[in-house]
Amino acid sequence: MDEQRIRVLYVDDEENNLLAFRAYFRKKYEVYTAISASEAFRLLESIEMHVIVSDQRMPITSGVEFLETTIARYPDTIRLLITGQSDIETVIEAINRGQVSKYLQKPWDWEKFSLILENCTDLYKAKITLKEKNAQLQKTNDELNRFVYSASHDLRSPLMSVLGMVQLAKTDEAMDVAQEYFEIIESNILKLDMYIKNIIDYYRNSRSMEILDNIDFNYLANDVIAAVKDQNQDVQIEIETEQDEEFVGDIFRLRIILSNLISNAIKYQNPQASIHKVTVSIKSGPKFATISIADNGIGILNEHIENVFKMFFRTYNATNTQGTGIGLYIVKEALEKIGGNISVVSTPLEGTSFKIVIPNKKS
Amino acid sequence: MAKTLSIMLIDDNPTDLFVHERFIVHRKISHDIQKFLSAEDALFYLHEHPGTETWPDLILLDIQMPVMNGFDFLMHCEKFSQMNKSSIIMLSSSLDYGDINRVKANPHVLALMEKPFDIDELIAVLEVNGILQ
Repeated sequence: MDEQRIRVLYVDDEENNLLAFRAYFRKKYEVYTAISASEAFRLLESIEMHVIVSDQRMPITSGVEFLETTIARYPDTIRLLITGQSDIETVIEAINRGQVSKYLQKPWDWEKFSLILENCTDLYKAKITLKEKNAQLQKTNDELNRFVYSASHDLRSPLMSVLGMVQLAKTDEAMDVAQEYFEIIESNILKLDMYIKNIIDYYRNSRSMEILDNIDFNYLANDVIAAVKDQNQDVQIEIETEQDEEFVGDIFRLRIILSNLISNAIKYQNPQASIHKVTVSIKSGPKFATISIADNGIGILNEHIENVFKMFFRTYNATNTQGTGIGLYIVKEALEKIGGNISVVSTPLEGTSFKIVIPNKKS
Repeated sequence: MAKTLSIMLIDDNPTDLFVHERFIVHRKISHDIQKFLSAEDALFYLHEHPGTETWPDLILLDIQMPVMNGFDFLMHCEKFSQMNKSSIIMLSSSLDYGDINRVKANPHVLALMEKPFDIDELIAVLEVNGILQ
C-alpha cells in the first residue's frame, strides 16, 4: 500500500480549475483530470481511482449524479464533492445518494483542499486495510476449519485402533492375567476420546447452521441412553415421553445436549446411595419441548452452581475423575444456537435436576 | 451348513485390518477374509477376479482413506453387475452428518459403523439383514 501512489481523479467543467489542480497536486498524487462526466467514465473504464473529486455544477451530468454512478463499480473509492453555493440540500443529497465522504466549498484555498484530500487518502487506506484484514481473517478461519476437521479425524483414528486392539486382547483367554491392565488402558483411551469428541462437538456447534428434522423424542432419548449407559451399568434410567404432535428441531444439537446431560447424570452418582436413579422426562408441545433430567447423585454445591456452565470448570470430586469440564459448556452453547434455555436445581448428596426448554420450529 | 461368507476388508490402517479380521475369526463369522490396504488394490483385485463365485458377500469399507476414499470406491464399483451380490458396511472413526446421509442414500450399504469396531453391532446388523443366521 505504501509504495503505491494514490490515484486522484478531478472532474470539473472549467479547464482552468483542472490545470490549477494538476499543478498543485501532481507531486503528491497521480493526478487525472476530466472536463465532463463522460470523459471521466472513459478514464474510469481502464483505471481504478482511489479518490474522485467532482464539481457539482456541470452541464449535462451534475457532480452528485456522476459520483452516484461510480459507487457500484468502485465501492472502496472515496468521493469528494465541490459545491459552489452553500446549498445544504445538495450536500445532503451528495451524502445519501452519492456516498460522498467529504465536501469542499467554492472558492477554496489550496491548503484546505490539500488537507481534505489527505483525509480522503487516509480514509481510502483505512478501507483497504480493513478489507485486507478481513480477507486474512477469513483465510485463517477457513484454515482453522480444515485443521480442526483433519485433527479430529487424525487424532481419533489411531486412538480407535488402539482401543480396538485392547478390546481384541480382552477377548483372548491367554491374556487373563493382563485383564486389569487392559481395563485401565481402555478407560484412559475412552477418556481421551471423550475430550476429542467434545472438541469436535464444540467446533461443529460453533460453525454449523441449524439443520432441522422431525424429532421423535422417545426414539432419540432411548438412542442417546443406549450410547451412554455403559459408563455405569448400576444406574436405573427411566424415560417418560409425552409427544402428541410433530416436533421440528436440530437433531444434531439435541443429541449433543441430551447425551451430555444424561451422561453427567450417570457419571455423578452418589456411591453411598442404595439405588442409583436417573429420570428423563420429556413433554413436547406445539410451541416448546420441556425436558428434565434428574438424578439422585452427588449434587452440586451452591457456590459452584453459577459456574457449572463455564468452560473447563470442574469441581473437586474425589470419587470421580471422568469429567472434562467442557460438556455443560457445550450444552449451553448448543442451546443458545437453537434458541433454548437451561436451568439447574441441585442439593448436595440428594441429586441434581436440569431442565431445558427448546422451541418447536414446526412453523 | 450354509456356505461360508466371503468377506473383503478395506482399510488404510493395518492395525484396524488386523483387529477386524481377528474379531471376525474369533466370533466364527468367517475364515474367508481378504484384506486390502487401499481401495485401489481392492478394485484391481475385483477387476482381475470378476467371477461370481469369488466375489465377496460382504465388504467392510473404511471411509477416510487417502487417494481413493470409501465413497469413491463405491462409485467405481457400480459398473460391476456382481456388486448386487455384495453387502457393504462402511466404517469411520469420525461420524460426519454428511457421511450419514450419503450412506442412507446408497442402496448397497447396510450400515455405517463407528470405530472402534464393535463385533456385536456387526453381528446384529448381519442378522437383521439375513446375512447371518
